[in-house]
Amino acid sequence: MMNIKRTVMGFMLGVTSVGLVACSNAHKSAGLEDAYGDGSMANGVQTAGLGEMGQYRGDSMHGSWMDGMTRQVANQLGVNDNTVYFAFDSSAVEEKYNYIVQVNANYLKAHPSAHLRLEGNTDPKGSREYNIGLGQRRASSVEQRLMALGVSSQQLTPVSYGEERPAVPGDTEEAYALDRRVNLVYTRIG
Amino acid sequence: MNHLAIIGTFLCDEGKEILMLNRHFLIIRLFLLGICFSFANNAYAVLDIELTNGVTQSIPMAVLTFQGENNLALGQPFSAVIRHDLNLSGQFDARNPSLRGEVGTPEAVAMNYQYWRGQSVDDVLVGRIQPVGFHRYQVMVGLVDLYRGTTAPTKILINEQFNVSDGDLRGLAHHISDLVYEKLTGVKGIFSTRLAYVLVTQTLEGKKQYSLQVSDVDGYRPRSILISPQPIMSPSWSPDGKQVAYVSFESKLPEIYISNVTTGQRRKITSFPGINGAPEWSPDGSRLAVALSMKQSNPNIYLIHLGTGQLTQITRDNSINTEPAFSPDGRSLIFTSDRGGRPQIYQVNLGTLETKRVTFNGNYNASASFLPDAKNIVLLHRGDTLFNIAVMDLKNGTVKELTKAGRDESPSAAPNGKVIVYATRVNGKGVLEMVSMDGNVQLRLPDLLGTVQEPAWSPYMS
Repeated sequence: MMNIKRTVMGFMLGVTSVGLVACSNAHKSAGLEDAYGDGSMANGVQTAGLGEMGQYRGDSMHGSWMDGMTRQVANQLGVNDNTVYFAFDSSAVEEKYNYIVQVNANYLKAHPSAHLRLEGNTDPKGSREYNIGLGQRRASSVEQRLMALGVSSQQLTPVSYGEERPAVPGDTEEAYALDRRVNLVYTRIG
Repeated sequence: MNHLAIIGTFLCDEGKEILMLNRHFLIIRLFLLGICFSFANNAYAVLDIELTNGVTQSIPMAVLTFQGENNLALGQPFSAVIRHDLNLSGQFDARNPSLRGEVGTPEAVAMNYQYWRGQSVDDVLVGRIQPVGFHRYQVMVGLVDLYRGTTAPTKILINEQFNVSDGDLRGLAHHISDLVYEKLTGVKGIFSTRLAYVLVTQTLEGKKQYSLQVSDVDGYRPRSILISPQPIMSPSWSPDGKQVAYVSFESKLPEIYISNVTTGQRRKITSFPGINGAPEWSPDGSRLAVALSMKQSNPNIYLIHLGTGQLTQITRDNSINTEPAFSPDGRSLIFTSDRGGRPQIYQVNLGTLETKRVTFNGNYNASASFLPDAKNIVLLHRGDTLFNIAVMDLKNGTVKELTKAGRDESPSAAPNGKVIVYATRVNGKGVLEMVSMDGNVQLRLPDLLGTVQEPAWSPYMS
């Protein structure tokens, strides 16, 4: 019984000292252990421990996918929506998207320093990590089509967000059809 | 502590009255937790608990109002925390019968055992809380079993006192729940464990914000250990409960990190081309099993030794291989693969890499993990069209569905294997639910602010 009492009191002391540590590190992620000090303020991210302080937030930095460079290129290419959509459980690029793939390939070949991120997405059905796999398949499928048209793999980064970034809110089949997509996002233009 | 403001209210005893009147209720809202904490400039809503399915077989007991508990700023009465914990397990029907006069000690309950037997309870918990200094309290607690006496009619199972600061009172209430649970069931309680989960909210500018949250198991005391404008996925606790591994898309590409839960400090573990996903700790804490796609279009399972960084490839094919989970002995992994056309669960021996298919029942099985008994796995199962949480007996292949909403996912078992927490959707919002292993008790923990997903139940913290 004494042990339990001691544990509870020890826990209390532990929390107090953690609170102090968290306070003194409120604006950086430097470490008691060097391995943990990765300075994670980049990309609008904040970290905090469960110490009493250390929770704060800044502004979100990133908007919807088709702003800035992608919109600029899409306008230039005459494309409204620089996106390839997929049938349920499929990663095959349908014929109706040949045009989008072709004009992006043309642009990339004409601008060798341009870079495209292929963002694969799924609908929210099923396992989240399995959907990461499905989204990667879709992104790779568009990547392979672009490479078949002569685009260098150096200009392409396929990535999967799985079901984490739905295109539209709502739990309907119509919404899900818009979720199953690869967004062609320019991260550098020539 | 002056930055901590409690700005809500609670209405806790309503639910309990209904519970006493009608044991076969369908929906009881236990508005135990309608409070908000404000830390610095941040407001976090706690999870709100609703009991959505009735209790069938449970131990009836009285958890009396503790003397002196009304003067504490806990958000809910000390004894209500204990009552709620025990009811959350599904194995107790913990009530608070109204009393004439005060009941101060376990000895008094023992003396008066005939009265208490008349209240149709098997056990009585009594307690007293006294201030003993600056923000410090002495808490005395006694548990009397009305039927298990050998030399006397009753037996005093717990008679203890604790000395804590006010900030630790809630932790102590959970600790007392654990003591009671273990005394009366013989199984270690899980009320001092935690949940990690991902909370998705909208900023004032309408942008999504993802936070990796850690709360008490009853949803109280939620804190963010990471806030990001990009998705966060797949939290997984280290076996000592001190660290959480997860996937963060903060660079726009997936990377695996490990955060120290206490300090918030973290390190990047993987940042390979393509998928970096599904981190899961080995039982000895030395390795992570992960899903990496490298330059391929599909993920395979790898092991990363956290001390040396050494990478070992486990699966090697062109199908989706993901969601690894270690067996309790650390010698094998179960994982999800669509190598047979549809996602199913497979098991690989880490010594020989010999692999066998585990699930044959249902057209979609995923997100599997072992229960502590090593004989059963909990998983996401679609028999026909509905995604439900199920338990499967590895020996005979029997699949038992524990839920039936059809939009359930991300199951995670409590460390004693008695309750599963999982994510589902209600009215277009992600919420967490808990279900007991017999499927009889279901609880809902919606967040007031946003959508909640991917719960991970911590191991025992001590």
